[in-house]
Amino acid sequence: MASIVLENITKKFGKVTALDGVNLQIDDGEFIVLLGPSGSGKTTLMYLIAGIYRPTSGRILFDGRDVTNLPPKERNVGLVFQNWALYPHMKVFDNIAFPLTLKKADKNTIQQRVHEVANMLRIEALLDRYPWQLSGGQQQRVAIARALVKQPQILLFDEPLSNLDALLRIGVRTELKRLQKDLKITSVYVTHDQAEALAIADRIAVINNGKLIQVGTPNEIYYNPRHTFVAGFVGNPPANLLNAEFDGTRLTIETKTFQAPAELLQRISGRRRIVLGFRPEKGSLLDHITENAVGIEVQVYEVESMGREQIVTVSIEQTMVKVLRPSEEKFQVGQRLFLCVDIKDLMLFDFDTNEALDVR
Amino acid sequence: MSLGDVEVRSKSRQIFYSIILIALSVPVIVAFSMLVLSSFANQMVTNFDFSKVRFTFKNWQLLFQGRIAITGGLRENIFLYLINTAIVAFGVAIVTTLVGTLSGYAISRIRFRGRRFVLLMMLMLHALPGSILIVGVYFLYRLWMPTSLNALRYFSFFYVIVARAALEVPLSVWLMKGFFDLLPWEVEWSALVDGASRLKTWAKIMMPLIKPGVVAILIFGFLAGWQDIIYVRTFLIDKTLATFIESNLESEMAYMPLLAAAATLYLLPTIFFYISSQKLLFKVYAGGIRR
Ligand SMILES: Nc1ncnc2c1ncn2[C@@H]1O[C@H](COP(=O)(O)OP(=O)(O)OP(=O)(O)O)[C@@H](O)[C@H]1O
Ligand SMILES: [Mg+2]
Repeated sequence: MASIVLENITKKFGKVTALDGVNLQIDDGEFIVLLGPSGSGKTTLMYLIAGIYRPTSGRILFDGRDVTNLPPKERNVGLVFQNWALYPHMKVFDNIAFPLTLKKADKNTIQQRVHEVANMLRIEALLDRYPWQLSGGQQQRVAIARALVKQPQILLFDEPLSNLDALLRIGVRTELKRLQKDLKITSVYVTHDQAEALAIADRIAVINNGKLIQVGTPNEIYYNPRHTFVAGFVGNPPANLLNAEFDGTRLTIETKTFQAPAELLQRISGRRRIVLGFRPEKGSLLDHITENAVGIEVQVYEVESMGREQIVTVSIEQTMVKVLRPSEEKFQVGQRLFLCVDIKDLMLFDFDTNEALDVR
Repeated sequence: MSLGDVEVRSKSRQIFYSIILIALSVPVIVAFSMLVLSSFANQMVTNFDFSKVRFTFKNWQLLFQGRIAITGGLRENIFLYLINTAIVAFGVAIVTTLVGTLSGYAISRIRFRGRRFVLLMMLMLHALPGSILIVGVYFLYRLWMPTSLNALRYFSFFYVIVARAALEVPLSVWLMKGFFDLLPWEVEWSALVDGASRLKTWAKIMMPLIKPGVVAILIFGFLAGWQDIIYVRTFLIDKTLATFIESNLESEMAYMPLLAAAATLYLLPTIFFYISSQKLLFKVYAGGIRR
């Protein structure tokens, strides 16, 4: 119900720069997932949008209106705190009803709305308990209910499902997404779970060290990372990144050398060092090099079964590479094979800037 | 003894603890009972021979009439002393609570330079008994005291309250710091995001959560002021119950059962607060926040 614009947001805590020149536009009704390692500034960004922190510099706009200096109370934002922050002295019902009581909603409305969200989050049976009488996952859902109940124009979720078991997680996540789409509430959602990010995001914003690295649809983030950090962070396991030297015709990884495919020459454009990347599921392990692929000799280091698939770790001298293969293929530790990757599946990055070398 | 949940103490052990506690409190209970009995008797009850003891309300009657020395015609205004004691006690309670709560909040929430130092110094201060500090405190008193006697009377109340409260402040700051430490920022912020004003957040969220602490230091402060004798005797122009009892104990014409009545009166608030606040003190809320 509101668009968000972050303009050049910088946030410093003393000497620590938690956010560094962040620019982000979130459309009305969009579902953005913030993805980044611990300490990258995700929570800080949430607090800035909620109005708990003031940016050191930069502006925040809701629907084009400057809210940079507005207190949280006037922003109509719902926030699910990373540590839930339930009110310990209130029963679950009162916790959820708190935002409504502040708005002086009448008793019937409160009853009805609280039961509605409680029902959706499957915590109706718990309304009469105190927070300390709940499990972690239940407390988390109470926190979500409290954020939802006031039907804010913006919803901020700071790792809201981290304490739920896998099944419940998928259930609640689907409900959240549906509710968000129904009510068209602009949402920012922090998660460490990449599968979750890829599943529910309209767009993903990857953040590292207080800087936004890339913002894009799940597909763009996954298949077209603009930075080695994104490639090396997203995916399970993430993309393999290999340093390669280029002498004009041939590429060398450690001591292994192969002919640089003609298709790549233009993108490398004479750089002496580049970073080659590929997704684990794009590598194949064969006894020969296939057409339209680059191949390099490797040795099987370890095999981990994951049910339908297996992760095969192979070594090129010192460098370890992970490849995802169907379980039917059999590998022995120590076995020598060729690791082949189709040319179209290769990602190229600049060695110094770590940025992608082309737009595909 | 059977093995139960770790949290559940076995019955026999509970009984064992109870017996020890009761045994330990027997001397105290006996002493207090004798005092209370004496206040209703024609002579002090000092042993278990009750043959000469007669029950009477006379002591209490005389006490409230202010007729202290039964032979002499001296009259003292016991109600005034009661009020004076209450003023000092409430004064100390309020100053202690205000300073304790506000400083506790600041020390818990704000990482300022010298924070640890302040905390350590306060512990040191708490370790020193008030009687040791009194020379310095008296020096300041002489430095600031007004010359007019009337002003001095008011000033002495003010001074004794602040000086006595200062002794209670370290402990109360530590206690309140502990309470605020248990309350993460996020709970406060959560209320703000939910649409509460600063004042509402304080009243609806913070206050209920720190209430046991506030009540505790209110009571500690009150009792400290109520029971104090050293500071009151040194600084206060007027008398309180404590100084009243003390001066009469020393006088030659002391009538002990009457003083027992005064002492019983003096003890009442202590007992009252002890019993009434027990439940409240243990009502500490926690949980609902991941750490
Ligand atoms: N109040 C603060 N004072 C000082 N530094 C802070 C404060 N809050 C955050 N930081 C620092 O800012 C950086 C970003 O913190 P933030 O909490 O936003 O990370 P995050 O991405 O949410 O991490 P996580 O995934 O672990 O929750 C960190 O380096 C952190 O140490
Ligand atoms: Mg965080």
